[in-house]
Amino acid sequence: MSQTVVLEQNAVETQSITLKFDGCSSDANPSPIVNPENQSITIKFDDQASNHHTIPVSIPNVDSETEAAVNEFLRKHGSSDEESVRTDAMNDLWSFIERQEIGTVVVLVKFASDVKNFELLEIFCQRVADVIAKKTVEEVREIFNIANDFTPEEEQAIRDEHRWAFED
Amino acid sequence: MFGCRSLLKQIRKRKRRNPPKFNSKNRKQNPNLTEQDFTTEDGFSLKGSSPSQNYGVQPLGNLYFSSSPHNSRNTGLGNIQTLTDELVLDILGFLGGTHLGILSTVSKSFYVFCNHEPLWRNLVLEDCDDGFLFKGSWKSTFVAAYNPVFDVSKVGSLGFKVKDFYSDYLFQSWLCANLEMEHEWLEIDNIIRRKGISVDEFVNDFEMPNKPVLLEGCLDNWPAMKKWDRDYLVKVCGDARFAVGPIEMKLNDFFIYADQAQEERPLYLFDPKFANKVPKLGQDYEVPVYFNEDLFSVLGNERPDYRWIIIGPAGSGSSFHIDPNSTSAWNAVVKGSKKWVLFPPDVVPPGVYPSADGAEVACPVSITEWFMNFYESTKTWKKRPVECVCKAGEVIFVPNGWWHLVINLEDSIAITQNFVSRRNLLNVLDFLKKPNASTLVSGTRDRVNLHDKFKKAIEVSFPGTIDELMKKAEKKKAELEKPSFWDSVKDSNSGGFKFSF
Repeated sequence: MSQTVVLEQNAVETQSITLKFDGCSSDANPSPIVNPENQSITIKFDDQASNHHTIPVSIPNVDSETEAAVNEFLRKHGSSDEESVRTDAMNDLWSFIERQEIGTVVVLVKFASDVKNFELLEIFCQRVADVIAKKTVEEVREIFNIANDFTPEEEQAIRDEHRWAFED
Repeated sequence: MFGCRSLLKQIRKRKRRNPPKFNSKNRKQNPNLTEQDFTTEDGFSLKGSSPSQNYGVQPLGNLYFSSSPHNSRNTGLGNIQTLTDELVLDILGFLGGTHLGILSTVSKSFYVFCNHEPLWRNLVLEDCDDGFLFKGSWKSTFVAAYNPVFDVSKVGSLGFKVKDFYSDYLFQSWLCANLEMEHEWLEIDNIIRRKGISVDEFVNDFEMPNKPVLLEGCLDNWPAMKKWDRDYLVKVCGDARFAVGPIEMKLNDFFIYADQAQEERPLYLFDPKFANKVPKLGQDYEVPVYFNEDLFSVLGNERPDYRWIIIGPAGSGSSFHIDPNSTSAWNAVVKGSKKWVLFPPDVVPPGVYPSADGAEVACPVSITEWFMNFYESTKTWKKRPVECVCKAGEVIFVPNGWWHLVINLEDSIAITQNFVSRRNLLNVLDFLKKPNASTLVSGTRDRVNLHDKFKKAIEVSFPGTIDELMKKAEKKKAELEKPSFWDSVKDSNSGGFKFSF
């Protein structure tokens, strides 16, 4: 199901831009806010967008338990404006995600991005980052299945360049 | 439980990128091409000074032409390779500096990703409490602050280049950081210029009809024009700290940064309290006579922010926006030069997406990328933009409601003020009265009451003015509201911006 929004630039020319949206998001194109005063660009998504997940979403490439946990989050998070309810929902999802394999979380990152749900995206990205942050170089390579493509000389030089990060 | 880092800051870097058109054939024939020799298919040229590190990153298009399908971006990311560049960077955005440093040694791909300067810029700007000392790159700046003992010249000194690394996002990011403003982008200068006109002429020919104009010769008597050079400003400003993006820093430290900055969106100094912090600066200029009517002044100290000093290196600037509170503005260049592109209120510039209530404006691409991808298209529109280069000594009048984009073409210093005169008083009052005034109104802490306060203050200082203006407006409206047959036919299709489902 998709909604089509047609922007008419000017009636005289026939300039038009057609934007298609996935059924989950709401009306207008989520818009970054340009603030010349502090030179930031922030993207604020209408909370409405994530509240539209009233129907269970289907998530490709994850097991049913995971899909259920995400849907439970969406339901609970969207059901109330109260801070405590939302925080609870986030904490529950967080606890669940901590127990999942990293491969699943990566899939969920992509999913959250595709449906433009930024609460979910934050949780999943933060989780991947947390996994990385606690690991040694060798452990990162193992957990993400990365072949070391540096030559020994290159690796030494690069470690040397980053000695400041290893000294702790 | 959660990182304190706001997701919004991370997502900020998410931008749509059009793949750059790149003449890969040249690349194949001349594998030894250095970055300086480098031109794209469209003939974009790089800045004369040596470009920033690019680590050998090539655009994806090259991969399709290469004899080997191997992309070290992917092999080096392992299971994360399925994510887009933006998502990888989003994840990295949650890491602290040491973790990013350690991660750089995992694989060539991570080395490249972890060297993405905007990551380090965020870390510096979030962590530094009162300014930073720029050391050539954001990464070096971070390392120097984090570990003052470490020989920071080692950072980035390897000149390490990765073969077979293809990424549109990272390539475009590097390209935009190092691109010169194309000659074609600067050629059109169709703004009306005037010199020595009377205030009445200005009001009748430009302010009332709400048209932009470039005024020459108004700054001749400004002490600033003679006095403002680096040495003078640094001396006069001393230890005062000025607003630069999200932080405040000393002027001299800012100049150190500005001289070395090589990025897509350079920071610039933009401070609304410069004359409070350093009164001498306020004394070195005066408001050009055309803009003397400044009705917000009735609010005294409670008036919204209204004047800024802007100091920025080449490439710094502001992408399309409309000035807040429905005010008009003037912008005077004391040193340097600026390119302006302006669209009237009813014409939304290409690549810009305002929300329906006008509270939010999206121009997701940087200024450079806007010129690369959208500027050409404006030439085929019937309602062409007003463009100009404003040089030292010149002042541009930006009428209220007009979209504008501005970029410094060289190190520049300017003064800008927003103002309300009788010509846009009613507009401003209407704007302040809007139900969502609390989000729209800017530059003041007292958004909700501003309308009432302002209106009252006007009635005290200029009794009867508002009523008089409203009567005039009613009269004008009645005259215009006699539609011709053809008007009524066109009516249903007119207007700039609407949704239809």
